[in-house]
Amino acid sequence: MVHLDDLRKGYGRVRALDGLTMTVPEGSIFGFVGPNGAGKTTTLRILATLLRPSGGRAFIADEDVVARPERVRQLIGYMPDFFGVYDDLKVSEYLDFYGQAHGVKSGVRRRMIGDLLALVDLEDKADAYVDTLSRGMKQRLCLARCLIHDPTVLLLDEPASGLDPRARVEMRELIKELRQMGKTVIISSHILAELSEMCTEVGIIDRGRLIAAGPVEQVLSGLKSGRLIAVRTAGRQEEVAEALRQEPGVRDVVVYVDRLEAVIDGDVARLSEILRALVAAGYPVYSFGEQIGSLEETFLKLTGGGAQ
Amino acid sequence: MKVSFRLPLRPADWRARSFNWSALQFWNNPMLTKELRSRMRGWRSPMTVAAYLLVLGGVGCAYYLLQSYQARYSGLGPQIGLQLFAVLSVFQLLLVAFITPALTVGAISGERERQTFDLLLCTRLTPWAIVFGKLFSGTAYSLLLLVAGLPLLSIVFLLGGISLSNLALTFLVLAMNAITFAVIGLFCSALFRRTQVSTIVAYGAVLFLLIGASIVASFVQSWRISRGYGGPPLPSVLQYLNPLTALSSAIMGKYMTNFTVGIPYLPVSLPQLYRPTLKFLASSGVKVGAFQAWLITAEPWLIQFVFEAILVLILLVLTVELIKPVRRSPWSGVRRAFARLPRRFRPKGAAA
Repeated sequence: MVHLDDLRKGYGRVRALDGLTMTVPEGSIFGFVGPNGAGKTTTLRILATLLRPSGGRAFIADEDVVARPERVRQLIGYMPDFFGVYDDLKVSEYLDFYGQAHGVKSGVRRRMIGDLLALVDLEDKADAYVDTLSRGMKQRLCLARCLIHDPTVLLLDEPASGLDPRARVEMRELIKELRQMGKTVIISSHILAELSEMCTEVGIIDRGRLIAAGPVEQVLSGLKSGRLIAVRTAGRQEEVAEALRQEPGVRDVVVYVDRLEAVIDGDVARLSEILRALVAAGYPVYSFGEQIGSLEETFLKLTGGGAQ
Repeated sequence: MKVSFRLPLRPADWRARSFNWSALQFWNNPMLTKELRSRMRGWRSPMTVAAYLLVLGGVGCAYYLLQSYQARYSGLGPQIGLQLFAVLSVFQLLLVAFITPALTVGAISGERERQTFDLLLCTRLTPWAIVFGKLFSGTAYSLLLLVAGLPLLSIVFLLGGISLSNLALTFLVLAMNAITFAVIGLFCSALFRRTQVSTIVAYGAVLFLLIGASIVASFVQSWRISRGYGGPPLPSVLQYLNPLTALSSAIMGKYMTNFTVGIPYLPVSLPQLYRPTLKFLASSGVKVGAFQAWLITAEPWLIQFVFEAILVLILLVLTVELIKPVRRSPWSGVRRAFARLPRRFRPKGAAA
């Protein structure tokens, strides 16, 4: 449904997107995860036809976002991470304006506004001025606005940011409902746990590159199956790191001042084999243990975003 | 039926750039509906109209009373109608110059500051429709003020000395200037990221039209004389940029040639000043270019109308180019130049 091909975007010397390639299948809720500054917002803005990529191509339902922005705008509903509202309009007028701006016929529009306000639970606020709404309500109104022209793809940039826990839950339920309506949803967040509960697919982006993508269970188990092992040695760290890298099942080794950290696939038997091999080779290993951390920590370790 | 004309920007992609009138969404422009709705909501707009009429009426009354007092022994002269009309028209022009830019200086930059502009661009609204909606809602309000002032202006018919065509022409000049001021405001608001900067620059430009252009023109004139030019004064384009010039020719109309005294606040009527120039230059064998001859012979309001129409068109095209988010256009060079401006003065869209 959404396809990115070697997408690049630079701001001056900074590379926000560095050859991002990914595909979002139709009808999925795609969680777009990465630390702040990884390029999530840039990607979504390119898809929303608001930003011109420096290279590569992006398609929504086979329409090129650069070549045919008019077509693409009818296919997408975009909710930016920060947005404002017109303070001198009522809720129903607000939706009516965007409906009109999308060329929705007036009869359809009236029906749509009623349905959408019911969907986002703002029916009793139809005649309230937009600026009297709470942050959570505005967020839901903005979601309703995205849906006014019945788009097939929704681009939601951190829809839960700045919401209290209750409003977050409401937002999550809403997004699940969208899936039942057959929409393809791309939703970005820097919190993996938040997305893993509602997404069907996840893509992990870091420094403008996709580092992992696929169905949620697969990506999560990929993260989980790798065991994070901390190895402490009395010197010769670099040699130990090199020896570790040679071992089968070792995915990644990071050298810190006081320890090594390795991501290793395999069961405990494999771990003991590796330990035995290290000791047998005469390396001064004095500590070798699994780091029990949360999913997020593992993720941050993997992306290097939160290490130390 | 779709009527379209082509902007002659670059021959290679004329087909792609053909201008589509339906892009304006003239009859059903959501932007316009929304702007008018929120503008006319509440007490502010009616109060502004009321205040406008009070000030205008007050000025008219004060002028009439003052004149009556001065002429308490001799009685009012025959020009009183014309004089009152001139005072009211000039005052209306000043009020419009004061109010109109304010209606559009925040049109685009305000949307950017409120973070609503991206949402607009994501809709099916074309940049032309957005610009047109913003411009028309701003201009419509100025026109409302002008129309509301018409009954006040027509009081002068009680005193005589003004024809209906004078009134119509004056209204045309005022309306055209209102549109120009609105477009200047709109352009600044698309060019600058912050409404504050946009406001300052827009009012600066309006002030230049009202005062600065004439000052520069007189500098040019004295520079010419200092270089040894001894003939009758030559017209400068700059003098015609001043709305007051056009206004004076519209007000005085056919009286132009034989009526010069007693019109307060108006610059000397130019054709009267320059028409002998043409004869003089011709008789002394100096060649006068067609453009110069046109400046000398045509009515100042017409000259200004042509200039302002050109200015408005250019600024509108630039405004639309400035707010386009993605498409590469012949103006990308202009945008890149803007991108090199210091960051705080740079339009947000232009950096991309």
